[in-house]
Amino acid sequence: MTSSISSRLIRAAEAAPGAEVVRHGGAVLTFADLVARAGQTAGWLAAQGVRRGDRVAILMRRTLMQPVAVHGVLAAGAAYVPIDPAAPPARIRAILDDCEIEVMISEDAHSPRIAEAAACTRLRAILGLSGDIAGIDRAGWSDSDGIDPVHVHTGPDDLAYVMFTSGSTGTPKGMAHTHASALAFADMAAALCDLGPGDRLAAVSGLHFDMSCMELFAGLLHGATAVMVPEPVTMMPASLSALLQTERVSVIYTVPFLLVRLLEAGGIDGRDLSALRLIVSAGEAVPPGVFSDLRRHLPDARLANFYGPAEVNVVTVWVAPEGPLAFDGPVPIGSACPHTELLTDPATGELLAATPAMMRGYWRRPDLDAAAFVRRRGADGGMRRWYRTGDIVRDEGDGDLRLVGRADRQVKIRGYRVELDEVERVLAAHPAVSEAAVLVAPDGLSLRAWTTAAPGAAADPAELVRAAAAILPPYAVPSEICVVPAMPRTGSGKIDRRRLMPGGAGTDEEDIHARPC
Amino acid sequence: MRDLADDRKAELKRFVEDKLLMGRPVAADEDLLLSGLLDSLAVMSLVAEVERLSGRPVPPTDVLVENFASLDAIEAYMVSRGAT
Repeated sequence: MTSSISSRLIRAAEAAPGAEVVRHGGAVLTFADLVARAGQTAGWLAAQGVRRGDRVAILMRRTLMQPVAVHGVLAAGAAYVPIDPAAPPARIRAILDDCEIEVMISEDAHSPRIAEAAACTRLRAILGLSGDIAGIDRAGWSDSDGIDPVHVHTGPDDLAYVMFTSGSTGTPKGMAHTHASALAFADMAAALCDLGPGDRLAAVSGLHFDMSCMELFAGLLHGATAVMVPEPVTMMPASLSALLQTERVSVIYTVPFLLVRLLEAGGIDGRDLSALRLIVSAGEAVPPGVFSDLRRHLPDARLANFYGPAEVNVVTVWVAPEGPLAFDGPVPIGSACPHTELLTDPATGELLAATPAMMRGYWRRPDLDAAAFVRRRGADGGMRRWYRTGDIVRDEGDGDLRLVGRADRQVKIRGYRVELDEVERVLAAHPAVSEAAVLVAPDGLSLRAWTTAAPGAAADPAELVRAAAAILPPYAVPSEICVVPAMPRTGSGKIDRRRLMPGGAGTDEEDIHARPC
Repeated sequence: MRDLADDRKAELKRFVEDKLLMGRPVAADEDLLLSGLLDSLAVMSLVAEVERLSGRPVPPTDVLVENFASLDAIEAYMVSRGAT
């Protein structure tokens, strides 16, 4: 039976208890270590009163103990709620409140930042799991305390995780995935990537990013090793390529931004990356040239592009043909994954998907569910739930879909989803601001904002950036905010955002008042 | 007497605090990368600033954690590259 992530992990561990499955720095966890530590973590959580169906927050960087925390929460029968360690306290508090979280796992049980975020929430216990194998003692518990391991029975419909993303109304929204949807993704991804014992997956995504499910579920449940790449290393291309070489990483699953950085900085020149057999890009459209450059540098590595909003994990796949590649446009997103049905709305071009990897729904937001899901017939004539991706796609007749735009104002910043409406609401909520408009900067890597001052107020751009950073995650904070006397308007009186960006459509002399500073 | 290295260190500290950390003070030996203070975009600006201050490009192979982990590390890196 493939009933839950936890039962699958135990079964995989029984097949190869001594296999190395997590690596970080010089430290290693075997399958037996991972299951034992996860069981002890679950024992501690149970002693704190955590029960099946509860939510436990995890605020951790990519350490040896991060997979222990994830599988420990699941072994306790609870769902994990990953929190971006770089998120401002106000956002952490919003998530803790929304999920009614009472217990958290972090590297440091005594972090002042967490204490600040947890003030006035229900949080009452923090388990500190520090970076090394002997480190499960920060909350006054060590192996010698003899906490009995716990493995609570869970089924496919139990909640596995709630992952938060940008919400257009100004508050983050949680995507609630079950064991069944997580396993559907894990098994599909493992099959597509041919994952198995001996593979080493570079873990380069934050736990709050759905791409981390690749190494934590698809990889581990199929016997592949997760190589936890420290955050500083992912920021330094030459350090990252050195790690890929020394750890003999075989698969990397990442956003195009990281691949661009590796290539731009010449980070892979002179490295022996012969073990790297598969590079999968996901999270946002692959810019032209990235795959052809990768093919030139690493001719033996397979290249693939996965597409899918976190609500449905991954729904299309495109595998690059062998030989030299040439693109004059973005890389296609390809065709439907196994067990996945796609249809395109004939009126709008919006892509709809039906897949067993689909989330249960948004966390306690039936209004969002009503907008995101539709019931339609599938290919077999049966009625089922389809997710409206909001992505406009086109099939150019070769069977491969291509992304051509959005049905709404969601954008991707270095792979992270950002609702421009949310950023505008946050800026406009500042007492010194009357109106705000936000666009993606021309480099595609950051946001740029324009604001008008509230009557009688003086809006200071640096103060507005600070105020936004106290509420929004770092990637959603505009890198530049310009205070303008007035917003350009369309004929109907709406803000004409196209005329804000210099060089954008409709820029002419009368727009000078809206130019960035 | 102030020397060039002190000016350069002060300028780099100002850049990191004002431009990258929105006014948050940072100690010379504070880890800029591990503590999550800087994201990858900020790191790109930091490398560009080091190029401006030292008047020479930073070769891709030098974009390593050990060279950019703290203000002290960056200063040591610039000195090793012949900055005065």
